[in-house]
Amino acid sequence: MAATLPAAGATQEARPFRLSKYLSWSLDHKVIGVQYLVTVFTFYLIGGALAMLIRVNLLTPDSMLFIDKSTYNAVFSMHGTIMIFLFLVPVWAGFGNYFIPLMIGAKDMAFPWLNAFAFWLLPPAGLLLILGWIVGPPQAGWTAYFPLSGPIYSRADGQTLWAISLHLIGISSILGAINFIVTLKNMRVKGMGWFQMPLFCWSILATSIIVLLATPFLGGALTLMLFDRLAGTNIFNPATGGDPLLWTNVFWFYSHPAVYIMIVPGFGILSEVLSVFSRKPIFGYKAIALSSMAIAGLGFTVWAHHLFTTLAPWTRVPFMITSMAIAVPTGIKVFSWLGTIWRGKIRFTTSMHFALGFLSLFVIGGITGVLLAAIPVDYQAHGSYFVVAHLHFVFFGGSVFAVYAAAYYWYPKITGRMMDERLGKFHFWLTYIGFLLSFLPMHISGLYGMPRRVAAYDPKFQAINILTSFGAFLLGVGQLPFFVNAATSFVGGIRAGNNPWRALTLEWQTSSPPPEENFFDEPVPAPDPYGYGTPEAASYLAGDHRPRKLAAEAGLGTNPLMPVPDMPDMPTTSEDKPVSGDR
Amino acid sequence: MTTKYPAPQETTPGQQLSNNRLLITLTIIALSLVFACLIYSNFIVRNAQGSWPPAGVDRMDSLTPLLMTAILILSSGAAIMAVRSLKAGQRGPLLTYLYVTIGGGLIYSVWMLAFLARLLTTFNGVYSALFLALWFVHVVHAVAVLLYLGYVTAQVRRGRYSVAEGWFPLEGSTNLWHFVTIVWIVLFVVLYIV
Amino acid sequence: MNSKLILRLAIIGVVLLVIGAIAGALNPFMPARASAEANATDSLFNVMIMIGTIIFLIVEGVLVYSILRFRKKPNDETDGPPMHGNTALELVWTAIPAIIVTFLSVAAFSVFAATQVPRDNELVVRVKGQQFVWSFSYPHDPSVNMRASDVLVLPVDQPIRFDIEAADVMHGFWIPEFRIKQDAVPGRITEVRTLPTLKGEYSVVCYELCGSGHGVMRNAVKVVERSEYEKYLDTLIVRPPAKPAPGEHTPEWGKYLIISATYACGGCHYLPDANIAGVTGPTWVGIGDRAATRVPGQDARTYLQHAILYPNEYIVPGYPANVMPQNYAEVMSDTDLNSIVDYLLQQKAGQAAQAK
Repeated sequence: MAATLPAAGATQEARPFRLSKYLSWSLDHKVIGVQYLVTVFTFYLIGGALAMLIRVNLLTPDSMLFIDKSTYNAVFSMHGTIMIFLFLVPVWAGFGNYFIPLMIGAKDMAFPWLNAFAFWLLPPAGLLLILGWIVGPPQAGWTAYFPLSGPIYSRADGQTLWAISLHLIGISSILGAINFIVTLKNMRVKGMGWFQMPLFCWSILATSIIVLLATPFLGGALTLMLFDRLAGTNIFNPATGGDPLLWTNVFWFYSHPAVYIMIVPGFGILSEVLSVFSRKPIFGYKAIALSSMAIAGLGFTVWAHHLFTTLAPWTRVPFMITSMAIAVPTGIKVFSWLGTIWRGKIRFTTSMHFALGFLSLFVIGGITGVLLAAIPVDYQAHGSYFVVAHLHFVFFGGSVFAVYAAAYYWYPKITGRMMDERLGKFHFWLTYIGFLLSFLPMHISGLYGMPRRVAAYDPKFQAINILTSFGAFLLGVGQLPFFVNAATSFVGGIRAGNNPWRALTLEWQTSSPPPEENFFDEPVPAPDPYGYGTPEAASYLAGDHRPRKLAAEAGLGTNPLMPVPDMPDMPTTSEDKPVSGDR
Repeated sequence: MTTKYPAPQETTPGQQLSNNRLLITLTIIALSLVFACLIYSNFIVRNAQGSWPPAGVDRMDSLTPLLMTAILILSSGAAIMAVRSLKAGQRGPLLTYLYVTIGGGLIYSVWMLAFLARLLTTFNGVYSALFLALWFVHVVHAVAVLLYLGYVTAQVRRGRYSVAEGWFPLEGSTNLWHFVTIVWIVLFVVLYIV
Repeated sequence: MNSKLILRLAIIGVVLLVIGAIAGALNPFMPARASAEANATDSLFNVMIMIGTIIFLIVEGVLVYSILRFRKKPNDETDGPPMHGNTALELVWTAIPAIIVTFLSVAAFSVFAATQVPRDNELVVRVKGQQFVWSFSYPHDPSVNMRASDVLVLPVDQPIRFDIEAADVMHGFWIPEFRIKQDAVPGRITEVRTLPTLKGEYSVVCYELCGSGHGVMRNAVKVVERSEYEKYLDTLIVRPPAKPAPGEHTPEWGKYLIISATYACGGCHYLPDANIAGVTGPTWVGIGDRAATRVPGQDARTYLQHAILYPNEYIVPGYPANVMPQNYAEVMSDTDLNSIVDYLLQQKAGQAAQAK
């Protein structure tokens, strides 16, 4: 009898890596996931380089690098646009594409062709955006308010290319979201009810709903912008009856939910990583799952907190209330995560470093967020470096740290190799310290009167700006170890085995990397994907899936808090032994 | 004695159908929101003017658009009949109804594209700008759905789709066509009646 | 919960409250308070800092404590205790933040509402934002010709209302020491109120990206005694100088003609000394030096006279023909013409600025 399955604990034989597979059209969600990740990290490097240019320019109060200050405006406009639309929004499509089918025990996403199509919209969209440099780059910020972004004050065609590029990115985003929603709803393996789904899946579900409902509004606004720029209409031009605030409102109606698109999957990652590396169940699973959905819903009601200095005064008040309210489900998550690590047995892997770093930085971003939600305080902080500080604490201290946590966590599954932990920790500390040095001081310069998006500033802010810039240079340099690590570990890292972290979620119950059809046999989910410390989890990790499988089929064992009755002995042979979790 | 586990779950035809239906539903939701955004914008800009149409601007002729409304409703009706024919196994009528649907759609699209081309050269401020924007987005989507319907018709001519074999592309494309018609009716009301 | 735990928690709670109170009262995060709004806003801000500090210390404290205390012990590969949740605790940490944000919403609302109430005897200053400078028009008797200023001078303890307009793109009107901020939106007039309470020098800063000069769009603000304010207003009044006798001409008369827009020169020409900032036509800065070099054979005065009366005779390179009005020859008297030319001839580089 030929063994049809790898024996327990066996490591995956190295399959030859073919670069051409990743450079061409593929329907395999794992290939598409890697294509997404490599693409978005490339744009991350470009966006980061632009940030370094910004910080060099701000070393002196008089725009030392860019004599023509409109070039500076182009640099930060591109920095923001690239980091948001070409990195933080699609990166979760990348991780989601690779891991959602694995985590729910499916062979692929619901619509493999649509999946590939959605990805392949991204590189041309990015190229189109960057091509804007040649014809005259956009200079109106990533928010592109009218009339500055209109045909009179932004004559350069780069602003038009910006609008077309964002259209393509939006379509890609929506198609991906539809794919995720259908996959998560219809293709979970038998035995995995909604509340046995890992929290990363919940977070992708919530995010996809946001994308589906919000991105069309960006599409509508961009369409009208293109008409104003190309067809001579005057929808946003006040001189001829249009309304510049129409753009502002519709833009933020998308862009506020967009920030939740960028962070909510990060919340999902945090639940995975904190639980696995504390060896404890996630504290308050249902609360975290449902609070993600609450944040998705509430996120649609807060957008005009970006407009506290713009709207008619009394219309500002409801948005203060909703913006304060959204702190509550977010707080629930933070406290639940603290409850997860409390009394755990923490393994300080690099992934865990970034997850803990996220917790320490995101709470600061959350507190400054509540400060901004109070209208009178916002009067001082809006449009200043205080906001730049807040957004980087949540985008970088939050989302990017979660991206790194995910990368270090899942790299072994994707490549079959472990990343170097020492280099990883070095990466973490350079990033953490550089980040604090760079962005903490901005809170002060903002409140003291330094507006954002300025190539030149009042000389009294120079000392803070020098400190910020040196922190930023440290932060920038500090990202290089990650890329070096990713590259060298790929060829020389220790082989990972199926489940180096001894995790309970389904992606770890197959080889690293997984075979093309994802699993060697029918995947059997753990009754509780966070059941660390329970005897069921111990036996699951020891390879004994079968009682769970039969129990699941019988409709039992789907409640993680209810013990599963003993099952009768089943015949076993070496052929029947399922893939084991242990390394 | 060996117990072989079955291969990892293949997507069953039933599951694929469920997936496809959800795809169409979610697509229609997303597209509805694009039009909701444009309709909202229309009202905001409209309210910023003193009167509607603004002073000195002629009202757009609504007779031909009304005719187009009738044509689109008829084409949707033909699409419904096409689906009924397939379910009754009548290939001939199925094809005929599909041709009528596409024919109606083509008449609308050609008229609209010509109208918009003319409008581009003669427009006069926000009044025509809104017509231009809203109608353009509509006809772009109508043409896209027409292409899908064209593909489905070609497949029907090759003998594909039946109750036994499955006929989702016909269902999906006709549902999308109904969506095109409904959006047209809403836009017509918003632009000409309200 | 045993009594030792309760005692520990109580001590931690008191310590946190003290630290929070100190942070709230003594934090240096806000600049000088120069208005009633600043006082109200900072009180709110300090309360929020106090609460934020406490939350920060709790979260970071639990985090650091967990990192130190709950490390995996060497050679212990077992899992932690399977705690799935604690409903009571979860309800507490949902309810307390909800109460806090409700309280903060009410507090913030009351500070906000106070800023919306018009005060008695408000002084209305019109503010214009344009690329890349603010200008201010003070209230005055309509029969008096008062020019706009690029310095904002305000009497202390006087309620002010700013009516703000944007001439080109969106701008943002912000006086950090007053804690007031309001967008300037083209096509509408927006307003914001304040009551300056502290004399001193501050700045009004543009915070809404408005183009390449956004970073330098900063003007001075001076809060002074009412008498000084009145004196300042007096300097803004454009009093016509004595009109020259027929056949004579003076540069002061020429300057007055330009400032008072009698011939609409300022619509197209740029000369800060005369408070005009047009960009359609050639700048007048340094024109006294250039005039003689334009057309061979024409001295400076002749050139300037012809440029006004017969504009199409010579077009400065880079500018279009047929934009300058063609009818000054019919409507401008010799006195007016030569007075204007006198004044323009004074515009030379290195010339000491005219005493205002």
